[in-house]
Amino acid sequence: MTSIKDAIKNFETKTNQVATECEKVLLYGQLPPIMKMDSSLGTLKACKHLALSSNSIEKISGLKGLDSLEVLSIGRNQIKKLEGLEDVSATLKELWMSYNLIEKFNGIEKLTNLTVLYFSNNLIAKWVEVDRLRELVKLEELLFVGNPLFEAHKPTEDFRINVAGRLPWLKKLDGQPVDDDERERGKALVG
Amino acid sequence: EEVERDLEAAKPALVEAEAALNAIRPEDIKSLKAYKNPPVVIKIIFDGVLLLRRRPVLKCQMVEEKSTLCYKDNYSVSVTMMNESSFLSDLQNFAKESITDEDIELLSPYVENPLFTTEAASKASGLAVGLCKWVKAMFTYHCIAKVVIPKMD
Repeated sequence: MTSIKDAIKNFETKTNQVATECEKVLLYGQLPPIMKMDSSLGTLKACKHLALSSNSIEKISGLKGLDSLEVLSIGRNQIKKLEGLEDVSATLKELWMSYNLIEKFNGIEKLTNLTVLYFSNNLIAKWVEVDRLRELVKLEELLFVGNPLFEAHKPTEDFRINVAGRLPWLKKLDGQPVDDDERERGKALVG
Repeated sequence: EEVERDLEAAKPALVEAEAALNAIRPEDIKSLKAYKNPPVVIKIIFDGVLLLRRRPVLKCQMVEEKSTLCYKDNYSVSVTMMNESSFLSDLQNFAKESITDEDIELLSPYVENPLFTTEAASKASGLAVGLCKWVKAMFTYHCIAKVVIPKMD
């Protein structure tokens, strides 16, 4: 496996930059994959966009010290829980974590500044989980395709309307703009 | 005007991708299906298609194929996708405006693979060339549109 330290070194060699000074630190797709996040991430003081996608990380941790982090990209890993995000909740605007193993949105309510949530191909199966997103009043964009809840409603428009009813402030769902008609019908459906 | 000119920059790639998709014939799909274990370039290209379409893919498991490090492929899922009668028209009608920065990042390890070239694809099959060009064009389109479209507002 590749350690965070080695991945940072790889990034510096590839881009000829100093990682601690970079706003965008790209550690995605390491071969062999990164399996563990650790506190060496905390040295990335200037980092606004941390890319850790396409690795084999099982747990979110080590984010303490990333005081400027706005975009956390951690898609296509093996993450089961939304945890370890408290340290960046004040600054985090976008969470990209499609292709993980998350069944529940527990913990997402702390990310009150979130505007973008990419969450395709996870394991969300129940509407009560989507209801937890009601805490995220700044959320503009949600990607949810490929979750069991989406698949269950796929043959009908029911899914979009349901989401629009629950999160009427949402601007975009699965890449398509949400319109007022969907919000109205959703409101009637959800009550 | 500036916006239009910038979007023009994406056009050649899109035109080429469209032509490449139109050039794919049912026989190409048939001949590809004959491979039990297709060349690694084909697997890489198909995984790129799966990711752009947000289809399920396996976790990142490193394998070495012909001394190239890559991920364990999803080719059996790709074959299922190829068997869908709307396979080619789905690609032709693909909503490229809905591609996200995350899609692009997930695609990046594939596009950056040294085997991901039209040249390598052309040694494998005509279908692979078409799909390779399509994936590249979607990548290019998003990267250009992302800079250009905010200027439209």
